[in-house]
Amino acid sequence: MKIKDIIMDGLFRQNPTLRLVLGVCSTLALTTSAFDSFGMGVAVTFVLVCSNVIVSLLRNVIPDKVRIPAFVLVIATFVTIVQLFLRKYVNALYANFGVFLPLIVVNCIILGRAEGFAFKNKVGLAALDGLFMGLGYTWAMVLIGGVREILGFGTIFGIKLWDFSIGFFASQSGAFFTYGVVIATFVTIWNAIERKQKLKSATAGVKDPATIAEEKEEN
Amino acid sequence: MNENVKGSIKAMAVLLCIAIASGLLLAICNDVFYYEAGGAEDFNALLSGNWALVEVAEDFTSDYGTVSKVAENGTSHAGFIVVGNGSGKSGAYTMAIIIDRATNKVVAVKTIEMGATSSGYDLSQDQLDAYVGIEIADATAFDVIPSGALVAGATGSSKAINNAFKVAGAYYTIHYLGGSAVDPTEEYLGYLGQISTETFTKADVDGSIAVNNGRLLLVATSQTQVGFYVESTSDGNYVDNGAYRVAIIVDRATAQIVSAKVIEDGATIPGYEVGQTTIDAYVGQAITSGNVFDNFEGGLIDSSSLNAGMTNTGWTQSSRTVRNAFSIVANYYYNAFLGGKYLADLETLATGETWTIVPFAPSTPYVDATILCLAQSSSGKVGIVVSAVSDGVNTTNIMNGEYIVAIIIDGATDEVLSAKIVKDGWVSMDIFAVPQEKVNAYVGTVITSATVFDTFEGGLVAAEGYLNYGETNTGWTQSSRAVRHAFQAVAGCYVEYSENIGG
Amino acid sequence: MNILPIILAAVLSNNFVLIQFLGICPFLGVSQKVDSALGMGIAVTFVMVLTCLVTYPIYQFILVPLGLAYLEIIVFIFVIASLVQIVEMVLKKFIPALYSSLGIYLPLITTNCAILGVAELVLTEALVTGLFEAVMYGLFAGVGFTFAIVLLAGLREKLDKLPIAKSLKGFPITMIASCFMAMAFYAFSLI
Repeated sequence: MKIKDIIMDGLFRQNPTLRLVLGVCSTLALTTSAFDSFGMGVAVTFVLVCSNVIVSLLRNVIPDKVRIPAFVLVIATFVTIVQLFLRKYVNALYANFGVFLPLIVVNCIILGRAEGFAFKNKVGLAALDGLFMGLGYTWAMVLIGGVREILGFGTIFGIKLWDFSIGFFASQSGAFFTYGVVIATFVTIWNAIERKQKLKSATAGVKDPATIAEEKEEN
Repeated sequence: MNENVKGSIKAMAVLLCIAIASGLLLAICNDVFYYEAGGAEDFNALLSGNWALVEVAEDFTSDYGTVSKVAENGTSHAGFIVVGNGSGKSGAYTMAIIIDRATNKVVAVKTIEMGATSSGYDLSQDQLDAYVGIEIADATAFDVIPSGALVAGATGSSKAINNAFKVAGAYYTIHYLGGSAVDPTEEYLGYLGQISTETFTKADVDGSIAVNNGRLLLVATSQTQVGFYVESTSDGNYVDNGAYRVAIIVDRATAQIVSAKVIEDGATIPGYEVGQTTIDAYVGQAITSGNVFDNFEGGLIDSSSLNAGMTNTGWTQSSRTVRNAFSIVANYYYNAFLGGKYLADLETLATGETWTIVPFAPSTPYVDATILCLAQSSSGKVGIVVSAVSDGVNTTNIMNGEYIVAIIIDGATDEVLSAKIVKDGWVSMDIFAVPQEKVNAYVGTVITSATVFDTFEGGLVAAEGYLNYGETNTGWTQSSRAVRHAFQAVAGCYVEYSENIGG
Repeated sequence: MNILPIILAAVLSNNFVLIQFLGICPFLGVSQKVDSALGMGIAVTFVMVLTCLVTYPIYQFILVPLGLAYLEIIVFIFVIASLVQIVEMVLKKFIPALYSSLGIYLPLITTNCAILGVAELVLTEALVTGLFEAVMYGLFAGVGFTFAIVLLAGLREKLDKLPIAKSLKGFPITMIASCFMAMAFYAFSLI
């Protein structure tokens, strides 16, 4: 039961990008293409899982008053590992991420999960929480990145769809606009689902909100 | 109090432990993921192979930048990491460049670190790929920025990247071709000075014109002449000899060769040298087509008296090599200076006509426009191909490309019969393109004077609404004004031409 | 001297918030009122200047010569956290009046990506060639941040009084307002 909650929280109920609105900087800056968004999602997921595990392991050792500096140290270590790895093996992403790669350190999602979840729970649950929070972040990133890439460049994951494109969606202002509209759509759909669930019995089958959100975007 | 201090000490100890553990972990990771720009990874990403760094010749720094790393892929390719000095607003660019050592051509290029202040001013990979295929013959290989890699609005970045290529080219010339990095232009201009009294300045070489059996070392222009310094190679039939280097001067008004001289004789067998009297046979010949010298025998030396049986053509190898030099010049002059390569555009505009090129040099240059080609048809029509650029009034690089327009005029009535844009010059947004109906607005006008189009507004595109986004204050788009420049130049050219020739 | 280009780039054409997307969290979080936005802006500017003053020499004169550039993230985040702590303590002790107005923003600043961002960007920015330029870059990046956040706060004070569809209320409408501001700033980078 607890595990199901963690999964639902990470992916939908407390989706870091769409519900909690955390880590906004990287969301706005890197969603110019679906591939960059996906790469950033994977990088953040990796750091989240690792830092959650370590923080959870050390939760009885770290004194309460220095917990924040300790978390930051752990997170910064893993971010540096990701940075070194990408620089060597996925240079294209390393170049595209630019300053936003080191800035994963101050991504509020990661510090938030370390403080709010991993510091209070067992290793297994902390890892699971990190994984699904990361996946929640990733799918939201890919959704926004996909919308912007399709509209802004006429491609998806670099594959050409058509010659039509609206430069606005590739620009900085397009990032703000798309993010705002996607959140409004998601929240509206999610609220409607929750209301329906409350009316019906709690066990009724629920359509995956992600697919609904995507269907809506297609239109 | 005591408890408090104890707690603090414990906290510090824990933090220190974590910090040391992190530091150790990172030190290990740094070694495992060791990476240096210009290592095997960078070259492998461009062209997979067994790359190994080689020592860079000491202090290789020029005015254009620095070679920071050199790598070799066996003996087949050479890879360079070069820093091109910044230009304009752009900072220095670090580029990875790979050159094929068999053909001396650029095979791949990639930006390692951009120098542009924002990625909006950076060059895309497609634009960089304009360098692929360029052959490095000497240190001047990158004197001209390939048109695809000269990006409007990002000229600073384009020049910084070109600087990187210049450095790589110079290094390659010295260390792989054994050449000299000293710019040979002055030396070549000196050869032209031996046979002409005019003052020449170096011109850009149009790489799109084919050069067979040799290469153009220098093209230079003066007020009334064009000077060439050419290296031609033997066709290798029966006997071989070295390359010839010949200086040739062409008169612009008549398209005739006015003087020529062999600077380096490539004959390897004594007695086969090509003397000045042989060369003088070419003087006075007019370049009426690109292949005018291909079957010209006036400058060949009969080989029968010298060594019968060495050749099957009856002419010495060395004199045929010299003829190749003149063929290169004729082909280049016909296409680049007489506009021969634009004849096809006139032919599609007026089918069924046979065009003959007329050498034409305007008495005064036209504003923002150049005549590329002037030709007379079998039925008395006059075709003119003209290049025009924007006047640059209040423009911010949004539209500043070159427009090439082909125009046909009836020689009898002086009326514009048809016109079309051969090369569109809009750079960033296709909404700035000039539609054919606007070009057609000029058709029907009788060219009564050189200034007939100066105030003609029928072919201009109004810059309103979105189009008026800061790049014009005249009410008309930059691009349509560029096209009008083309017609203004044509009117001037046509009037002068008909006064001189047509009457 | 590169000062003028640095000022124009940092404040307008490469505005930290609207063009480079740095410091979005406080930009959205502390922009309900012009007063608090201004306070946050000044606090951020102050810390940015200090950060550049400290991290630039640390990187150039300690980490790079020792071959420890890979520790840059850890060192920077620690330096910033310590700086913020020290500033907080100094203000509390010596200038209590300033502390009472700026103090509440300081804890938020440690995890503000604009601060770590300025420390990282100052290392790669082509216009920055020395410590003086680095500090100027920090100062004007902060000014640009303050400029953007105060403008947005002004807009949001007006927006609060308007009837807005329920689903757009709050975060989404703020994003769309930011979208139009970004368009205006984007125009500066076209030149």
